Amino acid sequence: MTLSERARSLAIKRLRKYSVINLVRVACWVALVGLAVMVASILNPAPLTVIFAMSVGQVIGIVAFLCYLLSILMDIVRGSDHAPDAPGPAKQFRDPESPRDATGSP
Amino acid sequence: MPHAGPWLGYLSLASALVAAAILLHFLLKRPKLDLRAKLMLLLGLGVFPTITAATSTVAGMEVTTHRTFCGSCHTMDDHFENATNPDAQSLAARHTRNPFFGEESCYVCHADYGMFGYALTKMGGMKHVYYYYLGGYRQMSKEESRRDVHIAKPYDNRNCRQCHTTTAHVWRSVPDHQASAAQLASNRMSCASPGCHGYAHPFSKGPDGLGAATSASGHPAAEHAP
Repeated sequence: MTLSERARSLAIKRLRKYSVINLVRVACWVALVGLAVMVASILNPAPLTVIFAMSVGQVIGIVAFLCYLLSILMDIVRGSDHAPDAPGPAKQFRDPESPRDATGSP
Repeated sequence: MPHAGPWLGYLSLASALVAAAILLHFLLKRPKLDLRAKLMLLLGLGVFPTITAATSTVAGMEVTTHRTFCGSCHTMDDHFENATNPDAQSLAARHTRNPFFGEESCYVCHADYGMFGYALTKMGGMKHVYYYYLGGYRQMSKEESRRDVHIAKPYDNRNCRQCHTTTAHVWRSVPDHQASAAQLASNRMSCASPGCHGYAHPFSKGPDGLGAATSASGHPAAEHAP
């Protein structure tokens, strides 16, 4: 196995491990913090709040959006037969010998 | 200089409110993560926050050009009060009363002239914030700041010449202007020198307003400092 193949399989393994829904929720909370920082600079335009909004606030917003994009990527990797709020591998990646039903579908 | 107006701030607040409503709906109601929810989240996490970030940045940059923003640090209290005093006769006060300068009189005079003037001025402003919060200026008394805080570099006559052209007949007909033209062009002499048009902020130049103030290091205040 080459280094790139190993990195790819490691990335897929990690992406499959966590719940898509949880990552989207994290993105929402992070985005709310970023929005609060930016709004604060409008309501109270003091030097520190303006600088904070233009630097940290925007970085927080970008992090939130990247979390959202990552969750979309995870959703694509898992496939359509896997509920987004279920942790673990999708059906197509599951060990056929494993007795556990990891689809998580209600 | 930007003139976006207050509507940009309202737009920023409105888009932040819409984004927050979408995000809170997703967090509290916990809808199924189907295509509709994903598209709504794209609006709440991507589109509306981008509008908020862009508009709040422009609105924030515009706020930094206002006189009240410059006067929000206590070390600028004297400058702010003098500039807004309707009875004051300093260069700063007279220019502030000019409607062209209006609420942005500090910025109009102190912004670097030239193609990249806006960006360079904002970079210089970051140094001011650094000095204020981390360089000890915040702990200074008004008297200390009046004595120790000086303009970072000699005031550039080109800033005066943005409005007061030196090529007009009226300007060239003044004998003192003719005699000092070369020195004024090379910034070896300031328009705001005592004996010419006077300091812009004379109270900061010692009790007599004639440049007697000395810095903490004992060096006299810069001759060029307006």
